[in-house]
Amino acid sequence: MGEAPTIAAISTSLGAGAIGIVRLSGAAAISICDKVFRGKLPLAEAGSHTIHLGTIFDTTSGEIVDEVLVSVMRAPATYTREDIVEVNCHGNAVAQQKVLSLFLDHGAQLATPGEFTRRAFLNGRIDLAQAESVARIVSAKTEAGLKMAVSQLEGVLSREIASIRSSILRVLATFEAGIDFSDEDVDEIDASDAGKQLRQLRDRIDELIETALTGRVLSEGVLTAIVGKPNVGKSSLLNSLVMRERAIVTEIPGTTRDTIEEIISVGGIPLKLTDTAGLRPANDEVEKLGVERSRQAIREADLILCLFDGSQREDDHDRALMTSVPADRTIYVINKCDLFRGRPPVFNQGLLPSRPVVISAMTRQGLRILKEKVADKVLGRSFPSPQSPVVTQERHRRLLADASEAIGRAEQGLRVRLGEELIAEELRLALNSLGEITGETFMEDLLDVIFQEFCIGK
Amino acid sequence: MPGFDVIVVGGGHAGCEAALAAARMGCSTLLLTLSLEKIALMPCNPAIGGVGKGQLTREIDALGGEQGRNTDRSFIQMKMLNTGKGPAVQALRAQADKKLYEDNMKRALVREPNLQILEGTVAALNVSRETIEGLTLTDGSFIPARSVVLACGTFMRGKIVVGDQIFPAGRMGEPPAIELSASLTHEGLELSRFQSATPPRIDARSINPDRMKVEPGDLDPELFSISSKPDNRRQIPCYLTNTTARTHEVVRNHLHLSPIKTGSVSSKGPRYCPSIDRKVINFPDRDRHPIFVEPEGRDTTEMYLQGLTTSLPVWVQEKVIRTVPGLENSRLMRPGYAVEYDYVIPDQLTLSLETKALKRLFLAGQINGTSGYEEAAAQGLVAGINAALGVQGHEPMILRRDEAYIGVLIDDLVTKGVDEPYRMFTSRAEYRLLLRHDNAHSRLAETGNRLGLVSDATLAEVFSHRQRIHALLATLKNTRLQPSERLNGALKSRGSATIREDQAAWQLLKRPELHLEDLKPFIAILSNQADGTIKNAEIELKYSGYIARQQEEIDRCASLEDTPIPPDFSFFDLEGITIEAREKLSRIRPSSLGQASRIAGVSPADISVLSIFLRAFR
Amino acid sequence: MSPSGNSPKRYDVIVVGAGPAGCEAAVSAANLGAKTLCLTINLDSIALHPAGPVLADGKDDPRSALLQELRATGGVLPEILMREGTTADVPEKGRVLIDRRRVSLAYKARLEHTEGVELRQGLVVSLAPQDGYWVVRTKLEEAFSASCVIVAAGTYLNGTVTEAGVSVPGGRHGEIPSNSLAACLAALGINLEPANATCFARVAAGSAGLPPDGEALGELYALGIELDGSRAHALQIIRSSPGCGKPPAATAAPGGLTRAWITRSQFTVRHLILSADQVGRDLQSRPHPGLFFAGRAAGSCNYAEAAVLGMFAGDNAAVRAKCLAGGRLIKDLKNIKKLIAAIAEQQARPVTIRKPPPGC
Repeated sequence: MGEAPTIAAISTSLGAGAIGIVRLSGAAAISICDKVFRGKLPLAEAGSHTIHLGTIFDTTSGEIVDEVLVSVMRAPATYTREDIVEVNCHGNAVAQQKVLSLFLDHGAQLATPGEFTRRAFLNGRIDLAQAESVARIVSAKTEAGLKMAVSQLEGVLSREIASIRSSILRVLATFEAGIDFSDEDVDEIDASDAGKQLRQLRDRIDELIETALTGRVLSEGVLTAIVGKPNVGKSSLLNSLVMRERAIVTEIPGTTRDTIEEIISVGGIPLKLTDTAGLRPANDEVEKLGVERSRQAIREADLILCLFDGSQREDDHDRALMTSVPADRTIYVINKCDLFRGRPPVFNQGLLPSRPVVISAMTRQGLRILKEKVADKVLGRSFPSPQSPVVTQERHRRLLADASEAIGRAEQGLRVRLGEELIAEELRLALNSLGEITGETFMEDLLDVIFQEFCIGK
Repeated sequence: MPGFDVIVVGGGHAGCEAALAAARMGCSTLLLTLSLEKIALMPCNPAIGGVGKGQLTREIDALGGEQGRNTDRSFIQMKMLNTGKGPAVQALRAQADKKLYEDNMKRALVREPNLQILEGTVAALNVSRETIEGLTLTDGSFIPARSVVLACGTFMRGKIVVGDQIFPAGRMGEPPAIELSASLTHEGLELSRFQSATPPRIDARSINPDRMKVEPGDLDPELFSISSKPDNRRQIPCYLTNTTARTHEVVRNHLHLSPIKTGSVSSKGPRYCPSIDRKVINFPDRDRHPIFVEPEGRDTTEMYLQGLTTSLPVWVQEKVIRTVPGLENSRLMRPGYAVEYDYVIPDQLTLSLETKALKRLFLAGQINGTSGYEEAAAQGLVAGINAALGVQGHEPMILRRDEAYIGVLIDDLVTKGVDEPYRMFTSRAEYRLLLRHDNAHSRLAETGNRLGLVSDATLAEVFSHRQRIHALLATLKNTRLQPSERLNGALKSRGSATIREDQAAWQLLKRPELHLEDLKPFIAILSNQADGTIKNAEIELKYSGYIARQQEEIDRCASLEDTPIPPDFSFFDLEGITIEAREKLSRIRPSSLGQASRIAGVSPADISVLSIFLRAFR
Repeated sequence: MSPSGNSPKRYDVIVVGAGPAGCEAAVSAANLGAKTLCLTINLDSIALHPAGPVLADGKDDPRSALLQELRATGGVLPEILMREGTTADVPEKGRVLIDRRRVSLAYKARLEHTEGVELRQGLVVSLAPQDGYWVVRTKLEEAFSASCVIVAAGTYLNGTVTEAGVSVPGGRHGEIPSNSLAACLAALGINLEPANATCFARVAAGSAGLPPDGEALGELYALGIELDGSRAHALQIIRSSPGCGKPPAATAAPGGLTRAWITRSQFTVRHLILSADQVGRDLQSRPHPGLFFAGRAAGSCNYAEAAVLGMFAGDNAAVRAKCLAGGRLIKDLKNIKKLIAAIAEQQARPVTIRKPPPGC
């Protein structure tokens, strides 16, 4: 089998929110991107599963196209089992297209719809069920042998959105039927009943928004503190998570603190570590991190990895830490399990509010479970595949927020007895927003619902 | 035979508009019809307008077409619908005296200097180098033409179905047109079949109005045309009754005789106009459906039974009708029936209604898979205008979805195709808040004037009306209202909250329960304004937020709409696009990215790819 | 038995056809108290008078005399003529022109508003005696019965329309024929023979500089001008003709027809009519009592005759159905008497209308 070309594609829909992803997969992915990317370091030297801030520039004109965050993932631990580079643009559709054009100019081929997923499947990375959960955005019309009929959009999320959409459509249909067929026997709309239905739908959307990653997570990472007393293994944990001895450093200007921040991707989720222990091995300051600085980091963090040396008995320092970290934001980690192999740790786990993850940063034992727990904690549910949710979440969140606001206005309209066509307008806006997530328009479905629900017709 | 600039085939609602438009734009025009006695017939509902359709008729008038005016001359009842809802969805509906409607339209045709009428049947289209050259009639004569508009209605290979009786006909008692379908197919056009049905007519002398609800028209009604004077003719009421459980029982017991069940009618009918058989099948739990009993004219005794469309055997129809309150003793005058006919799949047309296969051939009306007189007339008007423009060497007139319901209609037909006879609803128009009955002339009169169909005087009237509204709005923007006992009393009586500090007038008016009329005593300038000006200014005020938002949306999509796709662009070379999308794009040949994005089966990702390639292409 | 299992709906008189003969028949029967059903193929084509608007063309036109007698005895047509007013009706001069559209609508209204008349759309496909009544069935399987049936089917019986050499089945241009009924009549042993009716070409009035025929119609009949062959050829002939055969004086045109435009070509309908000796002086079939004939189907040559025959057939049918003492007295109406005699007893009448007949 000959070498497959490196492919590129945009993986968001047109006209939508701020974050768009241009993705490359293939042997030349990193080198192609390097041709148009200017960051702290060439991507060729980037560790796998790292994120880098920089700019994409047009090689012919030299002009900057966009400020971007580039994720580098090296084969074979990637979605397609090939090298993958993902470029998060800040700009709009035009910027994305420009970036894509540049990639194409420099040797990439435009991916056919579903091609990433196809490669993942063919390379044995995912099974058919998993493939289905990704293929939705990309369109399921691929060649025979890979028939993906109705696919899910991130599983639970897509089912829930479809259900919400269908309920909104029902409510809208009652308004539309009342408008277009007012001289037939269509019942008057019960405003309080409709209001109640809309309220319920808005609540469901708001819940979804809660569960989505926020924009801040995507562009800045989950503010994460790795805390623990000295020598407990914080730096080796960091290094293990980054999978390389030397992590790449990226400076982010404009922050209020002078600390150097590091973004690493853990289980596909960008974690912005505020405690950068182990980054500069030559820097002794890092090792002298005191309890005080830890306390500040703890206060500001979204996620805390609280580390203990499992091979020692707990001391006052540990106990102080235990009481000072908020249990709901903390993952307790017991390190150095290589030293008490097989036997329970010396450290008393029972003192901890929740069950800890037992690892050995050195031997990498237990790391997978830790990553899963991180994903779980951050997203509140299990994480089937490393790719899409991170990529699209912000876009979805924004669209869901638009939909929620529109429905809120519709409810308000019902309360003040606004004209039905204006309330219908808000519901249409909500459906448009949801439609940008699922890739569907609603007109035909609306008519279908009207004619199924109402006996119209003269 | 001498030739013509434009030949219009068919004297129905589409044909009449097309012929008049072309003639009025200075083209020598021929209207060819199967029968001179059957011009501008209303073979189904004796009504023009309604929600969605009324907006079309209004726009036809705004552009200088005939349907609005003709309806105003011929109506026996006029009613504004949806008065309890906002102005964007209010629409005018007229019951017409059918014979008067025909006569008035025929008169308009006969009086038009550049227009000739001919009774004849088309045998074939004459085509050379993919351009229409004229028509050959069944009597062998060839009529040269520079442009042809086909508006043949339901006549192409028409078949009537009643019970198990099936026989060829274009309408009851009239033979169908046979040859034209073959000619169109020969020229490479793809046809399909639809069916349409009409309810029975009963004798007015045999109904019992006491058992039905009277539905009168509006006192002092609004009219469709800007050129019509106020009219206080005596209006004739309709009657409202309903089917009963017994009716449904009778239908159910005889469903085995319905063509729906026996399969005699296989082609698709419209969902929004289901026969009583279909209603009973689909909605078995409903115990009543409304029936409107509508007079077909001032002097005739024929009454149209809206809601009882059917093609059940005639004796079953009579049985069914007799179960309806008020119709127990009714006598049938015409039976209901279904007609199946050929139509041309409309995605073979461009947005100007010209066929892609043959230059200068335009299609309008039910031949494109639509239903309704208003939809037909709108297409006829556009086809006639564009046939004339083509002959005169100009670019065609294409109305956008944000400009007119006519734009929505044609874009839907051409871009999405049809899978049932297409009828206009306001819900099809994403910009329905902008496309209103009250601003149709403001939107379209200039275009009509430019084409030569709307007089300068009418245009001036539209302009001054618009100016008066703007002036009023400007004044209102700066008007503040002081709290006073009188004002607060008026507010309270409308169920609105009182004010304690002075407020901007337009702020108060945002409240749904308040109208400018209510504030007339408090705002001096309002007392000199015409009612129409006040009403229209109010609409602008109340809708302003929404209108602004829709305008933003239009501007946002404009870049897509304004990105043209060259006519010879090869979609099949685009490897980044699915085969299905490529097929659709090649078939429909959208002229802009915007139009392409509306084609079913073309995803946003495909549009993305397409836009990249378009840039490379340039 | 009809598919519904019900017996046919019963009437006193059924009239088949709603041309002038059928209309007159239905109204006159109902006026004598008969419960009358009038069946016609197309409710929009009632009394269309396609052969032309000239009902009578001068004092010497025998049609004129017929119309006067009709007026005296009370047919519908005279009333309509009076109410509608015509474009150039000059009764004293014996010239009667109608506005065909207005007359068509007026006849329809009259049928609809006459007590005792039920007007209904239907194509009759069978006519047969049954249990002492006549049973009529339509294409849509409706069934009606009556003591008397009046066949006023005009030019529809086995009709074939020929235009410029091309023939299609039709009762007249643009309409379907009535063939099953013709077969039924033949099966009953009624002798029918072929006849031709020619409707002249119509010319757009504006183009000829002549005033329109009726306000809404805008056409003029090129009466008396022979037009064979193709439309182009016909147009040539019209344009080179000095004028219509005998146009009413008020409509003489200076420029003649040089710029005329044909709106409808001349066409001829070949159809079946009663042979001689099929009916008595009451227009009733001798071997088949209760079966009457009127109008062109009975062998009349023009609309005036058709109206007269219709009126009398209606009368006689009602008299028979309701066992009345007798119908209208016609002893002073010489022209009507002559007409009826001609229909009943005259030898074979090859009726070929090519010119406005001065009385056949």
